[in-house]
Order: sequence, then C-alpha cells, then structure tokens
Amino acid sequence: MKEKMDVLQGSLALMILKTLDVLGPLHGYGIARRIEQISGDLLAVNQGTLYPVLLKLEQEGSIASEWGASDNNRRARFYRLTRDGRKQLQAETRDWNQTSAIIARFFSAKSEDFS
Amino acid sequence: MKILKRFVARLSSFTTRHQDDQRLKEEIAEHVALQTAENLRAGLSPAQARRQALLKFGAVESMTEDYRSERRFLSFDTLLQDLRFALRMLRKSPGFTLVAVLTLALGIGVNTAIFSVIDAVLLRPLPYPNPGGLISVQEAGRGVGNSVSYPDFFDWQAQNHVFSSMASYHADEFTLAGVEEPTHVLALFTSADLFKVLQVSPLLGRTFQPEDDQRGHDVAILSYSLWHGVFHASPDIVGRSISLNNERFTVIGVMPEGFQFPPTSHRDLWVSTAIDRESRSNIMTGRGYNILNVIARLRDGTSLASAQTEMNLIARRLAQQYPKNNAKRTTVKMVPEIERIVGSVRASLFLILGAVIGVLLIACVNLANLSLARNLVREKEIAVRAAVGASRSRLFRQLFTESILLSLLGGAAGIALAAWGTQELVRFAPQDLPRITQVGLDWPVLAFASLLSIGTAIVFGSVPAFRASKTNSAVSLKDAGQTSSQGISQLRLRSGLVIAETALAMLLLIAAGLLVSSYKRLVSAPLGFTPAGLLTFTFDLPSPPYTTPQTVNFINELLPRLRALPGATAVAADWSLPFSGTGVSTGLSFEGRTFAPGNTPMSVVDAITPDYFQTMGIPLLKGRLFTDADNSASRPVVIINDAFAQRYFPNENPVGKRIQPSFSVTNDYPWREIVAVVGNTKMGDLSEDFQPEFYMPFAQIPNYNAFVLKVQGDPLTLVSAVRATVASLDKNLPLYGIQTMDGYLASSVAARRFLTLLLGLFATLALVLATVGIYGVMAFSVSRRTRELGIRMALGADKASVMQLVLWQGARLALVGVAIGIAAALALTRVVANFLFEIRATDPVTYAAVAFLLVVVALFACYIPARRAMKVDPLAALRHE
Repeated sequence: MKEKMDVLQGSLALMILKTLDVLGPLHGYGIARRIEQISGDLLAVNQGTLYPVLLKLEQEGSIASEWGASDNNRRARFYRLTRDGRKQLQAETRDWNQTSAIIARFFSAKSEDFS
Repeated sequence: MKILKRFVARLSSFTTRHQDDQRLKEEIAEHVALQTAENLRAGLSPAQARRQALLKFGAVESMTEDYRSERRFLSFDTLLQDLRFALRMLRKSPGFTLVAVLTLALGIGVNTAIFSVIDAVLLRPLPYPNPGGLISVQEAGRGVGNSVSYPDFFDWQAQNHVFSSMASYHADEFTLAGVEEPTHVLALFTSADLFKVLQVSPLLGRTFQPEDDQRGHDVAILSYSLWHGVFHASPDIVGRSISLNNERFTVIGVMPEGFQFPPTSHRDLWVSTAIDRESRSNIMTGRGYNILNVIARLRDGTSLASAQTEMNLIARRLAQQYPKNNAKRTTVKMVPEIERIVGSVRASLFLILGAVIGVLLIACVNLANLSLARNLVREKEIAVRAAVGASRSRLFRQLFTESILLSLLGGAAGIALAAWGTQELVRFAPQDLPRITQVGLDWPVLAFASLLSIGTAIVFGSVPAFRASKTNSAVSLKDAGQTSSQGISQLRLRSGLVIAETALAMLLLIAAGLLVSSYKRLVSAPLGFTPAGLLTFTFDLPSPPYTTPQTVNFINELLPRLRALPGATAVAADWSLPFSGTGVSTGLSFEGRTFAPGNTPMSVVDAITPDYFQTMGIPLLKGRLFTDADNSASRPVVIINDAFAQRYFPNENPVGKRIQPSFSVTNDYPWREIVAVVGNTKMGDLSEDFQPEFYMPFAQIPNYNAFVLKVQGDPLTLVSAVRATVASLDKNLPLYGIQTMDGYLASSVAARRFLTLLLGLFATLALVLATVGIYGVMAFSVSRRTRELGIRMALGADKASVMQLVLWQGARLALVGVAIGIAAALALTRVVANFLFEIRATDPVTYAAVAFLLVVVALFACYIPARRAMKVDPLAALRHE
C-alpha cells in the first residue's frame, strides 16, 4: 500500500517542480489548478495531498516559500523553484524521459520482436 | 545530502511545530476559499460551491497527519501509544518484567558504581588551574630512584627553558607546640615557586616569595583545617609566630578550604626550604642526598616531548660534570602530575571495568534470550498485528519500545543499586587509592548510567525485535506456534547466545581464580617475623631540648617502663620498621674488596635496640645479638640478615668480617664488625624477594622512627597505657603512627585484596547469570520439544536416555563455551599477568578447576529441565497437538 503511495508522490513532486518551472511562483491552489488543467480529468487527485509533498520538497531545498497576497488580496503562501530544484527537475526529467521511452518501446513491441 | 537537509529541517521543526500547524491551517483555508470562489464563478450555489471545494480538497485530517509525519522524526502519538502498550505488556507478565529489571539493574548497577570510581579516581582533572601543564619531573637511569637532590634541582631550575616555573618538595613531620595541646603535624618543605607552579592563591596572607628560601626566613603557610582546628580560625593568624619542633616559624598565609598539595595527601602546613639550609646544610649541597620531588609547569606552547629532550640534555651534562653521584642519572623522567598520582591504579581499575562489562554483556545475553522466548509465545499476537496492517517498521518500533522501557526501569533500579554499591566500594577500597573519597553519583555518572541503559536496550532489544518483525503472518497464524520452523532457528540463535555467555563467564572466572590463588599465595608468603600482637607507635623528641645523648637516655629509660606494662612481653625502638614505609638503603664498603664505580654494594639499613629481634620474632642464625654493652663507647658492630650473607659472603662465614656503611649520624663512618646473621624479613611488599639488610645498635646510631611492643592478646588495649607511660617522662610528646603490625600488613595488601574481592564478586555474578541463561534455554528447549520427546518415549526410549539427551544438549553448549572461554583467556594472559604473584597466567590447575566448576553448574542448570523432560507423558504430549 505504502509503495503505491510513494510512486504517486514521486510523480506528483515532479509535476509540482515542472509547474513552478514553467509558471514561476504560485500558491498551493494555483499549483493544484494547473496540474488539474494540464492532466485533464485523467488525474483524480485530492488536492490536499499536495501539501505534504510541498513540505517535503521545501525541506529538501528544491523549492522555497514565502507569504504573499493572493488574487483576492488575502495572505497566501507562494512557492518558487530554487536553483537546486531546477537541477533536480532537469535530472528527473531526463530520467523520466528515459524510463517512459523504454516502457513505450516495450508496449509497442510485437510478439515477433521477442523471438 | 537531501537526507541531511531534511534531517536538519525536521530537527528545527521540533521548535516551530505550533507555527507550522498554523501555517498549514491558513494555507488550507485559503485553498478552499479560492476553490469556492472558482466554483461560484462556475455558477454553483454558495453552499454547493463550498461543499464541492471541500470534497475536492479531500480528507483534511489524514492529510494533516501526513503533513505532520513528514515533518517529524516520529509521531508523538505513536510513541505514547507504544509506551502505553509496552507498559500494559510488562504489567501483564510480572515474572518476566521482574527478572528482566533485576538482571538489568545488576548489570547497569555494577557498571555505574565502577564507573563512578573510575570517574573520580582517573578521569577528573587535578583541582588546580590549567592542570594539564603540571609535570612531575623525576630522575631516571639504570638502578637509580626517582628522587632528586637539591643541587640537581637547582641546576635543572637554572638551566631549563621549557618550564615557566619549577618547585621542589619533600615531606616531614613536626610537633606543633605553644598551642593548647602539642600536636603532631604533617608538613611539606617546598621551594618558593610551588604556588606559582600550581597557580593558586592563599585565602589569607601571601604565599612564598624567592627570599623565603634564604636563611632566616622560617615561614609557614597553614592549611584551612589546621587554621580552623588548632587556631580556631583566628583572623590575626598571619604574622603570628608558631613553634615547630621548638623552632620559631612565622605564619604568612592560610590556604583556602579543600586545597591539598601533594594532590592526594593531607598536609597541615607548608614551610619554606629555609630550614633545610639552616639545619641540614649537607642536603643542600650534597648530590648524593636524593630526597626531593619536583613539580614544574610547562611553558605555554612547549610540548612534553621537546621538554623531555632538553631535560635529558641537562641530565647528561650533569652526569659528565658530577660522575661520582650522577653517572647513572643520564635521563629525566617526566610524567603529567595526574599520571604520577593515578598511573599505578589505572590497570587495576580497567581490569575491574572489564569484568563488569562482561557481567553486563551476560545480562544482555540473558535478556535477549528472555525476549526471544517471550516473542515466540507472542508469535500469534504479532502475526495478527502484521495481518491487520502493521508494517514491519511499526512492529519493530513497538517491540523495541518495550525493550527501551525495560532498560530504563532497569537503569533506574541500577542507579539505586549503584548508590548503595558506591558507598560500599568506598568503604572497602584501600585507603591509598587516590581520590577515592571523592567518589559519588554525580552528573557524569548519571549520564553514563542513562547512556548505558539505552545502549543495553539496543544490544538486547534489537535482535529479538528485528526477528519478531520478520514474522511471516501466514505461517504463524496457521501453526499453533508449537512446531513452527521459527522455533528451531531461534533455538540455534539462543544456543549461540548461551555459548557466548558461558565463554564470558569462563573468562571472568579464570581471571578471578588466578587472582584468588595469587592472593592466597601472597598472604601466606613468609614474612620473616611474627606480626601477631605487635603494636607500633612513635613520637618525636625535638631538638632542642633533646640532644643526642639525651635522646638515648630518654629511650633507655622509657623501654623498661614499656616492657613492664601488663601484657607486654618485649619492646624495641627501630629506625626502619618493616611495612611502616620507612626503609632506606645505603651504600657500603667491604674490607679487602673493591667494586667498580657505579657498582657500589647497596643494602637496607636499620638501627635497633637490643630486644628488637626478640620482639619481632626474627631468628638468630649465627653469632650473638646486641647487648647493652654495645654502646657508643664500645667497638662498632653490625648484624646482617641471611640475604646479605648469601649475596656478599656466599661461601664464607661472615661473622667477624668487617664492613663500612656510608651511613652515619655524625661525620664518622667506622668499620663495623659483623657479630651475627639473622633471618630475612620482608620490608614493605609481600610480593618482593628478601633484600639484604644490616642492623646497627641504636646506642651507636641513635636514630629511631618507631617503637614496637610485643603484647599478649589485643595490642590496641595497651594504647592508653603506652600514652601515659610516655607522658610520665615528658607530657609534651604527642604519640602518632599508632598501628598494629597486622594493620600495616593488611594495608600493604589492601589494593590486591580489593581487586581480588571485586573480581571474585563479579565473576560469581557472571556465573550466576550464565547459569540462569543456560537454565532458561534448556527449559525453553524442553518445552518446545515436548512432542518430539513424547514420540521418542512412545517409540520405546527409556527415561534415562531422554534425560541423557537433554543433559548432553546443555553440556555441549557449556563445553563449547568453556573451550572458547579458555582460548580467550589464553589470548588475554597479558592482561592479568601483571597482577599475579607466584602463579602463571596459564596456570593449568586454575583453568581445570574453573572449567570443572562451570560444567558442573551448567549440568545442574540442565538437570531441572531434564527431569521435566523425563516426566513427559507420551500420550499427553501427542494429544497436545
């Protein structure tokens, strides 16, 4: 059970990093919205699960946060990518691409390829 | 790197926990508000908009929990839960808890008590500022003592560049008069720089200045206790004149309470060396008078090694300049002052520490065994927990919490035991163990005990917890637990543990056995005299008024009066009484023989009144004893002991030969005729060989250090009569050094006795614990094998063979343990060899006896479970499944 969670958390972290990389500093709700928009309705994630991941990323130094004003002029916590985070994103993007390329090749393989 | 960052962040979040919760709450509120606004824009009703927003966010509680656990090391709630559960489990099995806590209390208690001794005696720095720079400087070289002569000290002081200051000191004793009651006081003669070396200041007045070393500056500094005790803390003490051995001294200062120098010996006052210059000018100029200790402070930034190099250079220069006295003194021995004080006891204390660590390890092994057995009983419970979703780490944590709780309980009980044990240790410790009175349970010791408890939990708790958390729930749930494969692999682990503890116990028992037989040999070693009924005491006859003839007259008058006391059978005055720490050696010449320079014959020297040999029970071997006719007017005579005769007159009759000791109270060194050979006596150490010694008549060499009185019955009953007899001749003579010869002998072996006693005690503890361990494993094994034994019996095995089976199983473990223990002991002989007297560290008798003892005890431990195995009813055993 726990292991499934880890996979999910890992990819969620990657999505957060990528979102912050593309869009710059965002608050938690903003990040959740973008992930939702980009993934369409394919990813049914409770938005709340985002926050533990944000904390973990912050503790690892990949992102930083500070208080700012939201659209409706209330106090909101804004997250931004740090230099370490950018490096981590690049590395993980590379890994992800490699992994998905390999997986894709396996899925496209026909039975004769194995003989 | 990432892990480290998270670790730091988590650590810091320990303090900001509340703030972080606040922040999360605020973020959630904002998140939901934004989503609600969005939903409203999409056309939902306000109530619907908020509901949808909350739904989308998901369960706040579980998210918060995730968030928190992300932040912390471990959830406090879980810890509390584990603790509550652990407490419940321990309460549910009081027998297990009691045995475990007691075992732990023993292990932790003895270790804490011994550590408190080591902490006070070895680890604490000396009570002076910057104690690390204090160096004891001693003379060294082949066949020379460590003491320094005044001329050498002056040269060292003048020629070295490595010490910022250097001071000499030697002890002496005085009669302090002119106060309510004449008091015997312990003094230290010190050169002016002593207090500069120590960097201490007085409570009142001043310390010594360089001119105090010059003639006419007879000044003294009092200890706090003398100032309080004798002078009633008089505020105008500084400047007062006091009388020491009838010489006038001016008090110039008082030291603060608790100040001691030398670091571990009590002194009542410190006097300048002016008096040495005035009354003993020969020791100030003679390089042969090696009576000083030297302490110095290293210059800042100078290493001990470079100081050593320079001092060796100086010593070599002096050896060339003054070959007569210094030829052999070519090096200088320098040790940190703390090392001089405690260096000699370190090895014994570490040996004892090794023994108690062994005891603790055995305790840990027993606990691990107990926990393993208990976990097996709880196998089902653990399996159920795993089946309903407890992760392995969660199970491990829960079981480990139980171990930690147990060891903390054991630690608390251990500290209580140590509090009592430390007091007993101090009571039984030899008086001369430095700083023993400062032993106590203080913060370092408590910290040690706490660390030890946690360390113990890790040692005994982690293996069982780890194994239990590996439980395969499917297998365990299916099996009734009685025959599961885990039981067998566990048994293998437990057998290994038993072998380990038997080996440890064997090792400790061998060490203890060797020490005990060594001690027995030591105390039964021949002394050469009869200590029973000997009372010793002394007093000083100050000069003035007692001139040498008056001293002789006084003693000639006193001895018959003492002899006439009821119960007294003989009495003598003696200059160098065995075991009283006053022995002195001197060089001598033999008529008609020459010896190469540097090879001067040496011998212990003594001066005695005629009845000495009779009083001490030393046999006359040849010739005649001294009589009253051997006096200052008669021919100089000497008596030698057998060792002297063997060494210097191996094949001839020494009686009638003449020798010339270079020892005298005048400047006259006459040739002395040997009139007798007497039996050998031990001088101060039972473990040393007999030394050559010669005796001169007191009437010719009027020096004495002690009186010795032979008494029928308990010698101490005569003390007040002796006091009164001395007072009847002169009431101003305080008696001191009142001690029985048995008392001197006991304190001479006190350190060995202490070591032997402690090691014996701890080895016994180890044996008991190991026996309990063997019993535990065998009982467990029998109960696990009930069915197998039942089958064997059903198939026709008789009771005896079942019993044999079980006994052999236990004996095999014990034998393997014994073999490993012997191998370890043989590998470690070096450790105990130094403590042994007349027994080798590989003494086969001791090894065999200890091995036999251990095997017999182990068989006894197996016998009880074996009897139970014998009584297994095959039908019941089979039906049991």
